[in-house]
Amino acid sequence: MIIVRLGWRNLWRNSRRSLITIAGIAFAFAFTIAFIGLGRGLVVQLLKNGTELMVGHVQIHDRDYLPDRDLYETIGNQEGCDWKQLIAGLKRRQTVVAVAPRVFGFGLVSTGEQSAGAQMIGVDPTAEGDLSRLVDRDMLARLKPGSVLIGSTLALELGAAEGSEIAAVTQAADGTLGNDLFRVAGIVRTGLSYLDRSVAFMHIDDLQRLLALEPSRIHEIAVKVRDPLTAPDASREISRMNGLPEGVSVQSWRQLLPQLNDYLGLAGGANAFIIGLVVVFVSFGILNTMMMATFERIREIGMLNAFGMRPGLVLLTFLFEAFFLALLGLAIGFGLGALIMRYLSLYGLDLTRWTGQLSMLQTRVDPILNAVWNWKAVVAAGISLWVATIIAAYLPARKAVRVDPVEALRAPVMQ
Amino acid sequence: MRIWRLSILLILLGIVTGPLFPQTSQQRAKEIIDRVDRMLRGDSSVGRVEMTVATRQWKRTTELRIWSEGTDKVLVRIEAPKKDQGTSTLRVGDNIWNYLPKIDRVIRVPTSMMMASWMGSHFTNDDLVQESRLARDYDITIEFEGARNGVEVYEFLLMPRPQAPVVWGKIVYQIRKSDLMPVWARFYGEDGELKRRATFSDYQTMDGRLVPALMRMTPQDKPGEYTEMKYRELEFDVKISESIFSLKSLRGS
Amino acid sequence: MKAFNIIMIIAWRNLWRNRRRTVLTAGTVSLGLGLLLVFLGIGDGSHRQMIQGAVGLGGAHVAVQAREYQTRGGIERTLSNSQVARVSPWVESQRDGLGISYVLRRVFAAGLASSADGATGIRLIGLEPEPEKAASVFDEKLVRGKFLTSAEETGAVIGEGVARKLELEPGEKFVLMAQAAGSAEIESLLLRVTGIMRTGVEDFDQATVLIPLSTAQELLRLGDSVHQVAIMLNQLDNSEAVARLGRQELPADVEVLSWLELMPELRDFIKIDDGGSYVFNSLFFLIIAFLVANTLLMSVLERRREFALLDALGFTPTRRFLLVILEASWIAVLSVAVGTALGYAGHLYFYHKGLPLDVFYSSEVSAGGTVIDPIIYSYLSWRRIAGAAGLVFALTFLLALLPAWRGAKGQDAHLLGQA
Repeated sequence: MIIVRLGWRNLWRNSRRSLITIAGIAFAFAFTIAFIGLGRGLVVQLLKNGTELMVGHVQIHDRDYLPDRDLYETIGNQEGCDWKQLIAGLKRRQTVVAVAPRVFGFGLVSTGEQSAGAQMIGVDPTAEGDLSRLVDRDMLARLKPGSVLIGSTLALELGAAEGSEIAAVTQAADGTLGNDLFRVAGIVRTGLSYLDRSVAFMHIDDLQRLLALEPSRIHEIAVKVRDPLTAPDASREISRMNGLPEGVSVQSWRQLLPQLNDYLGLAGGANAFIIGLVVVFVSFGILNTMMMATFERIREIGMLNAFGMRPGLVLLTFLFEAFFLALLGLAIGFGLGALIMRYLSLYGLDLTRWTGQLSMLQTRVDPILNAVWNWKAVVAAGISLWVATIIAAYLPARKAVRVDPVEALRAPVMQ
Repeated sequence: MRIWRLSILLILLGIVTGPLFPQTSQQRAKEIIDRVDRMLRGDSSVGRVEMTVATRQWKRTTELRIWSEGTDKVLVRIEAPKKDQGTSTLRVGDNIWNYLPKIDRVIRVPTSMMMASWMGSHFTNDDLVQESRLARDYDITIEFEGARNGVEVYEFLLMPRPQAPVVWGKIVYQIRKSDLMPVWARFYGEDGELKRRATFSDYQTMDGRLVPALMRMTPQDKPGEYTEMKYRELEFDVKISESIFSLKSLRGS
Repeated sequence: MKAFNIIMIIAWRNLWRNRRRTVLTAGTVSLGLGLLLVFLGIGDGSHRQMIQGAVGLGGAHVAVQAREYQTRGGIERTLSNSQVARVSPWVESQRDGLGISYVLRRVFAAGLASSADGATGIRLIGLEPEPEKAASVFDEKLVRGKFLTSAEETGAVIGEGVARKLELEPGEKFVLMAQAAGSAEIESLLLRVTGIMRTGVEDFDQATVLIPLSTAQELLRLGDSVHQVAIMLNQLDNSEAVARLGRQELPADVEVLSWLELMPELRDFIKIDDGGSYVFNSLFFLIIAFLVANTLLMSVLERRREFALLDALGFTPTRRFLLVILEASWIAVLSVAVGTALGYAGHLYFYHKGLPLDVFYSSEVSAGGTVIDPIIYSYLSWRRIAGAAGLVFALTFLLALLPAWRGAKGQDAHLLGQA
């Protein structure tokens, strides 16, 4: 084991060189960690943007509700359920951040001569504000019973503005023509044309009444969890919860938005590709550094040879040195990287500094990029660098031990 | 709506043509249609109908009063149950308005809702408008003449004219030879698949004319569902003042 | 001057005296620059593909529309025949100069499509069949049937979602209802499906119907008027310039917009994607910087000895200074040259073969209102290359300068004696 100690000691014989090399490895690893973190953060951001608009991370429906959204397929079938209690129970769970109930209907909205088809969504304003980013909280707060929020294009078509009176007519669940008057409390601009063209938000009680649905009947419960990537697990847990009504289906965004799922696959793949390239590059860089360091020590190697140390042992010494170098470098690098990650995950980078204000996507895209830990990638990167370091020490050292000691000793310093 | 219209059309056949001439069936049919069409333009009627709609989830009956004039003016008002009393629909030309007494508002039906159900029934808003165009949009021939179930009938085949904007591939009407009462009407898609069916029964004499007092419309894609129109009263050639078919009258009286 | 030339040669030779150091330093930088260029190429390439995709789906590089049509819509806000007539000669005169490939007239409206099996609201686009077949991607996106032809006046291409809701196949009929311009009348028209398209953009597939322009104009009682004159260019990058020129030279009663204003959603999506790329590329740049600095720092001692020798040989401080600068320049030039070559080679590979990302996902993916191609083709403009190369040059130069500077400060004669 003297070799191991020798390896360690060797490190400090030329502390300047060792420190420089360690610093190199440390910084390279730290930045790679940041790179990986931001890459993962980008994917998570895509996920959040895709789901936090309106869908949420997990949704609960009656089994037959999707995809046709039949008015009658309420949660708990025709009798409905005690959804207020269900929501309270969901909120108590550790992973759950927000829960919102929803009722959907389709019908006509009109200002008299101007009428248009509308997608009516009945919401609980505070709960909806906590969950979705589609409509901002202040706008939702205006949604008292008797008011409605309509999409910008729809407003244009109807010739309606804030304060206008709107009649809403729909086929109710009991076969009658549900109809009522509402006041426009605000105009919603989501940037999504198909929504702006047809959406009308109202208070959940109002829509239930309009549709002649009992208060116990709702169509959807949307849930937002702490970490969107764990939504599938959360959805499984929720489906095993006590007190769930019969015939219910609990799904995560993976099933609700298969397109988003695919997009994330794409983004993740592109990410992996790039990170792979970066890690290869960084390994190459470390290789260079180590090779340079080792080549400078040809004389040393020659000296050890001259002293009679077996080439194999010399090599081993160098390898252990490299081993420790890598260990120190990676450890420090990890510490640094963790610091950077802490900052980036808490505060994130505001991309609008580079992009300028985004008019259209403002509600839909969160321009703050946060970093997220991706342990698999970090470990892979670490291992890759470690291996690179050791190979980098091995190759030139191997060459060096073969050199005739006399030649080595004679080697000019300027090499 | 359009079924009723055509049934009136064919009823008038009986009055106008009497015994049928020995011509080719196409010529005969065309002549019949032409003559009746001209008559319908001036025809007016007022009636009381009991409409029952049955879906998988509910079954409702409402009592309607219907005023109609020519081929492009109809006013329908709900008289019972009390809850829906006063709800009305006015059609003039291509336009349809609904009046909702609860909120006291007149609402125009936009193009995008033309295919939506009318008053919750299995008729669409479009049905209300299209009836006037039967003669214009279809070539009518007699496809079959003979006995079915021991009754002598005609079966009229209505084929859409080449560029006629109708969704059906063909419509077939079965009419009793003896009194020219409609028995059924079948609507097919272009692929030959039956899409919906109307049956007529309970033949009664109202205001001197024989009419099928009961008509049932059944969609083929929703088994168990139907809409039934039961005529309680029907008066023809009534003098209806022009002001009836106005937005003002849509609201009041 | 002669002294300068000599020093320049010495500087170059110095580089190769320590071949390893030079190769390793320059190698790191070159590889880094090469990778950076590949990243830039893929990023720009994917954005261009997205833009072209969106433009091909009823968009345009540059569009001429009635004033306020873009912001307020309205079927009555049309370009009259006379207005269109004034656009045509301008386009013709500029065709070669601006690189205009197609000029297309279009009409847009909302309507209702119904068949014996169902009905759904749709968005109607009236377009000129033959030019659009060549200019747009609709034809490529057909999954069944064929595209429109001028001969088939009542032909229609419908989105897959529409086909499903109405249960339609090519050859089958449906009725289109729309409100004519400036009137309360609802016009109905019988159409027959010629083809069914799947663009991958859900909103589009669920609600779009394409018919010949003349048919649409007749249905909507527009006469000769249109809503948009779409101009397609050979070079995407000319869009803004052409739009600007149009604004200057066309009459003030029309609006000229580039795709950035026509499709602000896409523009923003790309901006934010660029923002993210900027962060990543900067970080990568930092990584390169650190690795190179690391390599160079280690050579400081060596360099000091080298310069000590030169000093002993009679090099003046000025000359030492010059030597240092030229050495750094050479390394920078070498690195950037090789790096650019590497990067360009990488770009060429992905330009021809493309980067197949479809291994990572199955179906079509859309974002920002257009479909994302599974195979990304690299696009590298000279501006990008110059920018990246320039930055890396500056970085390498500065980093190379530091140790050489340190070494050249002199008073290291004592090092000469060391072994």
